[in-house]
Amino acid sequence: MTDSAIKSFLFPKITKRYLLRVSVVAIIAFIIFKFVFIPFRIQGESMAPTYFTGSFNFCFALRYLFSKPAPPDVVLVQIAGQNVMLLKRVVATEGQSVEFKEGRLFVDGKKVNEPYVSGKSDWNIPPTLVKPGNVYVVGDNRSMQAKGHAFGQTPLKRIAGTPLW
Amino acid sequence: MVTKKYLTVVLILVATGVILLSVDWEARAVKKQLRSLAKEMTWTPNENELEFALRIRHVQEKIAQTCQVDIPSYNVSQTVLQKDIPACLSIAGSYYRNLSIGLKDLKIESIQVPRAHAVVTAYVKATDAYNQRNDHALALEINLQKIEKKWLVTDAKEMQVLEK
Repeated sequence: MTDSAIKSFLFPKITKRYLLRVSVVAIIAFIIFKFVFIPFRIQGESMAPTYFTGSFNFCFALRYLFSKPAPPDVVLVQIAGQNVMLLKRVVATEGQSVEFKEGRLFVDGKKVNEPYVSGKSDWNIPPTLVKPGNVYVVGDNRSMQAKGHAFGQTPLKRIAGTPLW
Repeated sequence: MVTKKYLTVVLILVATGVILLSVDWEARAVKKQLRSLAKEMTWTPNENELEFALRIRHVQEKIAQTCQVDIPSYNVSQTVLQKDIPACLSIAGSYYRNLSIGLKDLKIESIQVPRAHAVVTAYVKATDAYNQRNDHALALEINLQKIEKKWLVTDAKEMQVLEK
């Protein structure tokens, strides 16, 4: 690459064509990062050891355009908007019964193998039936006290997408 | 040349007028009041008594004579009278050494003067006297009423995002 090529790349001439190109790139970037891949930073330990506090990711908002969340998908649950969301794992869908016995998850009375959960848990939650149009979500960190852990069933309309990785 | 200048001035005036008319000033006032209230509900252990007294006064100015507060995540469900706010804040201040409330996704769902309805995510970070963290991201529904040119909170209710 010659000096003039580097110079023209770093300090381009502000022409109409150049401004148009910048505008198009800016608009496409805005649409992509606002509606398709929404950037987010994780705060909290409720999804440890799968996701840790401080890590960065993108919410793929089109993931459930033609399908519905199903176990064991990790999803982002909207609270009042998309600036603060809850990161949880789907463990059951509508019509299923969810129960925790001594920290073990039972769906429809059957024990679920959860390789993503580590650490001891003493959760005892009586059976709950997931309502139509809802999914049951819970964090992977069951060593937390159940009282301080946000989990339960939520309407599908609150599911914003899934983390990209 | 002169005509062009006049045309430019007229266009600028029309554009300014359109912008001013399109802004929902009442909604902006509601948002400002709620953000200011959240700021007043943020404290640290280093705060002196004078600062705390000022905080109480500022919070009182933003709450209606009676305000219904239902926030199950923090075991709060009561009707708060404006005159009881100093006592409530003193209890909260002694229970939580640190408290901060950040408002995100603040949306005015409906506004018909003198009433407004807002929905917001309140990101609450609290540390109690035993140094235990009690942080929650809450979905709140807030109703306000305009009384004597001021938007005052008449009730704040936590919406259930995850039903246990």
